[in-house]
Amino acid sequence: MAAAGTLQRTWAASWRPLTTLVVLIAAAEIAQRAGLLPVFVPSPGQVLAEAIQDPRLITENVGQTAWRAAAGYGIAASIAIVAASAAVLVRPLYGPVYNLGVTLHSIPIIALAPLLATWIGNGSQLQIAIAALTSQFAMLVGTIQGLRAADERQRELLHVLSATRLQMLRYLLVPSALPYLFAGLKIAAPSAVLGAITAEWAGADRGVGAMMLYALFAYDPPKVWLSVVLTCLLAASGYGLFAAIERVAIFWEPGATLADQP
Amino acid sequence: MSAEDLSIDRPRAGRLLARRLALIALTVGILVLAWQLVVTGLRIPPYLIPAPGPVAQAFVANLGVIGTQTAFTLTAAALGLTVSTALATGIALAFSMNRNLAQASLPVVIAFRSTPVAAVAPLAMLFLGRGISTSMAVVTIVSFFPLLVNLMRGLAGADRNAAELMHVYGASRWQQMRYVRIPYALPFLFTGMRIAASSAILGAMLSEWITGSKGLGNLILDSGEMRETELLWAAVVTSITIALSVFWITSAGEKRFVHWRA
Repeated sequence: MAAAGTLQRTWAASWRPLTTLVVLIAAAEIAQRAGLLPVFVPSPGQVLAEAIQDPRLITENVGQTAWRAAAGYGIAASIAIVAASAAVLVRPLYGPVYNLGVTLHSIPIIALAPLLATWIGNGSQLQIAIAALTSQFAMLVGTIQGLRAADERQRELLHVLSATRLQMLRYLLVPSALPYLFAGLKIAAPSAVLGAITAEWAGADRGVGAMMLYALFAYDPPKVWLSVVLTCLLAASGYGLFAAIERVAIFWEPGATLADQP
Repeated sequence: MSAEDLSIDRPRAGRLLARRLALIALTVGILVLAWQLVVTGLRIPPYLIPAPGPVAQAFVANLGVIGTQTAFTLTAAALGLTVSTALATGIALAFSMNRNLAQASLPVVIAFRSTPVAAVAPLAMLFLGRGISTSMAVVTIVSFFPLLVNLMRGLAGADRNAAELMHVYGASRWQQMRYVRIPYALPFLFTGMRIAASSAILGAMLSEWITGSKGLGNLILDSGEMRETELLWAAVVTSITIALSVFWITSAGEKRFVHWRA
């Protein structure tokens, strides 16, 4: 019953955009066949043919990028969550931690990539480091805001009921922090993909970013479009993964938004 | 704000500004000192981290190159930001005046919003080639959405009582806009600006990176590849300085206007 309801709601929310998408794709196909589009806009069929023709092109490149983005994301998540918790628990740490996060976030990644390349080398570690740098801020902000979201009166109530620190954590702090944490985790996932791909532009032999660059300089529009579609799919599935986990895990206060959107 | 307010405010604001500038100068001084100490103390070879002295020399020696490339990047960012501000303002006003239009086109806008820069840049290059127009287009696209979202939030969030009062007075739709909604939306424009301006700089540099045309991003990439470490650092420091100043200036603007609202 509940499952059917969810299905129905998902359908109700998604049929309109899906129809738009299908119509757009069909229109592009027809327009390209009729010769209405310039040469650098391939028909969706051509892009699909490119994907079917050489499936290894996709598996090898997407796998690389996804792995690097995920590794960077994981590192950034663990550091950002620990740092944010420390910043909330220990007052004097708040300023330095938050300012460092903001500063790192507002420095263009391009400026850091060549420096990092000379320090740690130009392999996967560079892409991982950049993915971590681009995704850290959203998670930092999410954790900080989440840990501060606990209601002061509820805190006092638990204090009056002589709750232990662990109980305070279990029944108040974690439940009120999780929605914000997930808001941060969701936003950070596409940023990690973006970071990994841009870092691949700086010189990687595999990965969606490398594939994009090769296709651009070989002037191969279908392949460029394929890499763009793959980029969007990777970013969207990163977001979707955490949105799905959030929907299952957080039933009490879904859809929190961050005040300081990165 | 009347002249009286300004005359009261100015000395205090001036003192605050002076103090803040002194603080920034102090921080920069300490950072440079630490940089020098680390490099000499740990005997770091200049190809990993050059000392501040040689970097400053490289900066002065290459002032012309750095200047023209920075000007190119800033021009692209400024032009793109101007276009996106105009577009976002127009569209936000149209959306808030016509609900049907908003409902029909918002899903499309939201779908485009989540497209990462890494996907926009190669397509822009296919369409527009390798000149400044690619950078401009990328900047316009990446800075458009934060501006639009914040402006719409502002236009929609106007005080209900004020809006009803205007309704009772029989104000026209335009008068509603002029006297209630636009004043309410202004602070949000600045919030959007803060987010959009940093992503504008980043977008300009990213598209230079992928197109390989002129600009600060390309200078960083080139000097990194040519192992001209001092020039690389000079360019990196320049770009970080620009990014952070843009961030500070827009944050200050935001704070001032949000303060005015409160």
